[in-house]
Amino acid sequence: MFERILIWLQGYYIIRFDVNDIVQILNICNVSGIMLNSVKDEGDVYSARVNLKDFKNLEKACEKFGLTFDVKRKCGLRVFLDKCFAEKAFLAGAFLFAVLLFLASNISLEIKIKSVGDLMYISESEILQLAADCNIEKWRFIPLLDFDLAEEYIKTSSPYISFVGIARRGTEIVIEVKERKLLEAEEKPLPYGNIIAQCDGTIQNIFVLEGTALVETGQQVTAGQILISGERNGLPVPAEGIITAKVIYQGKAVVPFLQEKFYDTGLQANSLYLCWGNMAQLVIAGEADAPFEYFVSTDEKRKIEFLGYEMPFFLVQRTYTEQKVQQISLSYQEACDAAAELAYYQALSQLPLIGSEIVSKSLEISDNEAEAEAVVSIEVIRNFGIFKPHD
Amino acid sequence: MEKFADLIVNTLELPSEILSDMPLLTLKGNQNVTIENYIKLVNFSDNNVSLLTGQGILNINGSNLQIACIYQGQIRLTGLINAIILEAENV
Repeated sequence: MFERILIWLQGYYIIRFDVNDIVQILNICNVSGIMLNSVKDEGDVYSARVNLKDFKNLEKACEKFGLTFDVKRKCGLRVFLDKCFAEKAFLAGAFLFAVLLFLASNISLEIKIKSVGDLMYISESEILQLAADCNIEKWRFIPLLDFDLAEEYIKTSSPYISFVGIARRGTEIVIEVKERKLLEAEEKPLPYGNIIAQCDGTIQNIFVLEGTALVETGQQVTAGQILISGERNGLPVPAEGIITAKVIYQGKAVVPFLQEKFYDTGLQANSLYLCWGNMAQLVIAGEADAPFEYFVSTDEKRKIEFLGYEMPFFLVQRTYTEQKVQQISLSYQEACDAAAELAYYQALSQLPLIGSEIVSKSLEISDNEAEAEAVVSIEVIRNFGIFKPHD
Repeated sequence: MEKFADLIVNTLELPSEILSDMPLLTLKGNQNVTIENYIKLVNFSDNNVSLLTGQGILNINGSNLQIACIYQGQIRLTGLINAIILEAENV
């Protein structure tokens, strides 16, 4: 079967031998490597098929031995194509067919909308309308359509769309759309739990939305105490409510009257190091240790380049500046002011960043022979209570 | 020489038809026969095909016989095959 198809594809001649004895021809073909197919005895004549390649060899062989044959018919695909290509009408038709095929395969026959999940805020018809504004609709010549422009247009035209991708699949145009997640976040059910006190304080106001209040206005509470219980009529509920409380934050600072202060003497010493990353350093000049008891040091790094390439090691020049200690004596007022300021900032640093209102401040100063002590109390009203789910 | 060929065939466990001049027949039912290793065609007609082989004359008798393909020592016959007779030389 395969052999027949192959012969048909190659093209063949049906030939007729008008001889009494075909055996001689067949033996010649066998010796000459000429392939003959379908050799039949048709009474007076013999017919056979020979492919185009072997036909010339057969002609030569028969000429050599004085044998003759007639070509009855030329067959096969190659022969058919040769005939066709010889016709101008066929060529024109083939060209027209190719052009029509190209055109037909480049016409949009369907517009399809694909979305990630169901469309909630915008309908398919609205998307199709937006696409149609950019000429993306049925019966359009696809190579002339600008998908990038259309994507941008659809995305900017609708506030509900966060992503648009337009792609071609054969004669189908697929518009992939992803909707923007609007702020209406999905409400997740809260777990069951209580609202507890964040720190010590006095309840100023309590407004229960869910659960049971266990404290009342004016009550002193400690950190961790349950303010609103996550339970109602014996059933667990997620406690919810707004609680404000008065909380006192304290800051404490001690400033001695006699203080030590460092100043520069002006003396300096330099050292030079060769460093290899942060791993190793080698002293090239100067001393490895600082020559002063009190000092500050500064480093200056210098990269080393060779032929424009930066080397993996570098030089560090370290400068030591000598410091001396000086005893300074503060007055009573200066020490108290410094202590008060430090205590105030310490107290202030404990306040929550938002949701607090300073109600009052107080300062207490005490002193002894050596130092002044300041205690600052800041009273604030703040949102109080955090949700703690049941274990 | 034949003995030497037989020795090689036996030693290397080759198919015996490779080095010998024995004809190889492949018969598919009674409608298709392929003969390899023949020397020459002796007779061809509608009801008889005779081939000279190394073993003698091989006669294929039948009706509507035709050569489906003849090429380089191989011949395939189709038609209704009735008998295949080998007239061995040394008998």
